[in-house]
Amino acid sequence: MSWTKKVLRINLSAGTCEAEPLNMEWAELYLGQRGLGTKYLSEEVPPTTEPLSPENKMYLITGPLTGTMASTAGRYSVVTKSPLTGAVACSNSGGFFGNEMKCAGWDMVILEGKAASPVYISINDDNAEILPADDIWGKSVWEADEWLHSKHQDPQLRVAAIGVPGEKGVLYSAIINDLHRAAGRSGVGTVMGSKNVKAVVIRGSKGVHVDKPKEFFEATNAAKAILAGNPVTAEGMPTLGTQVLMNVINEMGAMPTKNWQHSVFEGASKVSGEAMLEPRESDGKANLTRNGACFACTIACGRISTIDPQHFTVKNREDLHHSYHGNSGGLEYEAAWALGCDTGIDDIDALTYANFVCNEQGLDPISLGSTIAAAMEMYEEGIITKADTGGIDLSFGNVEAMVKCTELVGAAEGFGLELGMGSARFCAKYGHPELSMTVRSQEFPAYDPRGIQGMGLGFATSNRGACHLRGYTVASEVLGIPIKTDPLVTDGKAELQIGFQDATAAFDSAGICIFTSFAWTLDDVAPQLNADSAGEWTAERLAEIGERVWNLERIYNEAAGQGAIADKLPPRLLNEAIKAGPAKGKVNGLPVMLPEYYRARGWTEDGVVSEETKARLGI
Amino acid sequence: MTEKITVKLFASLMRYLPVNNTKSHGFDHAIHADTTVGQVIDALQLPREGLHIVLLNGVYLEPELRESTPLNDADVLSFWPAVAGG
Ligand code: SF4
Repeated sequence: MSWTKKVLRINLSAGTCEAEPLNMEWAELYLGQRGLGTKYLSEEVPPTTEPLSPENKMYLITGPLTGTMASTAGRYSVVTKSPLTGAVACSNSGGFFGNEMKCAGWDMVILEGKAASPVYISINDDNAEILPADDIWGKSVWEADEWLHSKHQDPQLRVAAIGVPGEKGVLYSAIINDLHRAAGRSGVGTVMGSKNVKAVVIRGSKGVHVDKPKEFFEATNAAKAILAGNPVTAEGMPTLGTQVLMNVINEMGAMPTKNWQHSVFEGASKVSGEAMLEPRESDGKANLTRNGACFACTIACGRISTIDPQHFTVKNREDLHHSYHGNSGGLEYEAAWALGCDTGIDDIDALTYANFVCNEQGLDPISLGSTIAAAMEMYEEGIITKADTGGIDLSFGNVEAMVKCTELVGAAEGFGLELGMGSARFCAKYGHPELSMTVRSQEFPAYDPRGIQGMGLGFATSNRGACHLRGYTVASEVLGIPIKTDPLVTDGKAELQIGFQDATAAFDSAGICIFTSFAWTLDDVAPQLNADSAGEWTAERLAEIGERVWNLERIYNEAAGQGAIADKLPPRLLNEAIKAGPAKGKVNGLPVMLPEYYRARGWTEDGVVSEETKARLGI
Repeated sequence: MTEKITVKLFASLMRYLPVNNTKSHGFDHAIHADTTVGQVIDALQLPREGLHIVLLNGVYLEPELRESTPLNDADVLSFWPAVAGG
């Protein structure tokens, strides 16, 4: 049985750590991770709760496959109410933290209330303690990680921590585990900071037990063979990582550039996955040192990179953490896009440096880059001036300006605190909310939905605000997985988006990485769960769980004021046609797709989850 | 009259780039008035089974149209193997 059936509930106000049984009735309906965490949230945290108040709670939760030998089974999620969006937040991370939680005997750790002074949580199998964190409050994630490892004298200790921005209320702060794996989006780190919690450290020695070991061995091996035989998961992702997309999306003219004013970025190939392999002049090394893998992963898409030692960001910078002068977590496509294409910057070392800062200080690079890009457009339009930016020349393409802004947000100082509000609040503050490229106040990822129509519907309806990881129709519309559809038409995109959304919710609830879905379908997940966990798990049942999870998130959002009223795209994507390239002349067809989507979801024409749909799904 | 197109090779297909083409993905390729995409694939000895995404001027070219689609002067023809990211 791969659920431990045990929950660790930590009340920070009362200073208590108590074990309780996992609600297995809910686990049958919502599986684990994203689904089960959202069920707990919706039962325990009223949707109108102020996200940064002690009444909000955080659910650090694994799935039934987490910690097993299934490929990519190191995942955990952080579920809470988001301070950035006001909607449900669920951020998923790999690395080695989720499996350690499971090995310590816990399916989930709940943080509730607020500590009177800075603390961290230490979990060693059954023992959990709330310990003072005064020595690391005000330090970066990397500094805290070193201190915690040294204090506990345990190299195997797994650490998830926030940086300075999370302590100081930057609204897109991430929780970083294992130095460069992030529960990245929607400000889950900000919620942790609001509770005065700097870090959670875990050591587990109990192992994980599966229901039918022999069957499980066979099922996971068969599934791994599928990953090993698929060109995407066997070759594409390990070689170039997610950054392989940079040239694809740019060549098809769907690359959001300079705050989405343009859809082709001239410098894209200079910051692409291919460019990360090219030797540089100074030391003959490439940006990419090697790929890396999360726990039990047989894909290994992770990037381990260095910054050119002659680059201005690191040269003669003795003040920096030593990792800036060596190998650390390198650029993913979304980070390279937001910090680069969206700000008009094609300097791969500057982007790698900014990405390191995001890892060191716990920031979501998508929200950070997009907010800087929006500020750049406002600066070029004269809406803000150097008087607002603290003297920074925020022109598009200004590398030093992007680096400076990143450092200021990382330190949560000066103009960095302004940018730390995120683009929606920043643009609204200066009277131009239309320049914020967000849905539910969360910044878009790197796909222009005027050139990839289904993604417009996906962004508008995403329950955690604009996001690519909720319904990745790019797979079909651009990459031909599982079948190729035309990115420029709206026909059929409502059903396509729903299929992706529901399947993704099921993957996200199981304890495995969504990147397996480039090769696996739910038919490949079901046999692994079947052998792992008592009960009958079929692809149909998993798809229904995904649909149930999606609808539960929606119901929570409706009550939080983030339902249909927020199913919107910025006017730029609906009214300003793409200026050049293959998608020239296109706007997004959301007004056509949205009513189809509501119908196909079984919601009312106003986008409200209907009573029949609730009854059908048992919500 | 001889015309020319730009061919671009990405990801693992970069190994088919001309030897002097180490820094960029694109290179010029001479065509005649009635040259098709299939003929360019043959001329460059690209592995057909490894050509998953083919864009002609940024627009996806369906597999069944690849052999017969004619090319025009200054077209951009881009190739990828099966790739994905997120
Ligand atoms: S595919 Fe990449 S992100 Fe997913 S588990 Fe493997 S290394 Fe981690």
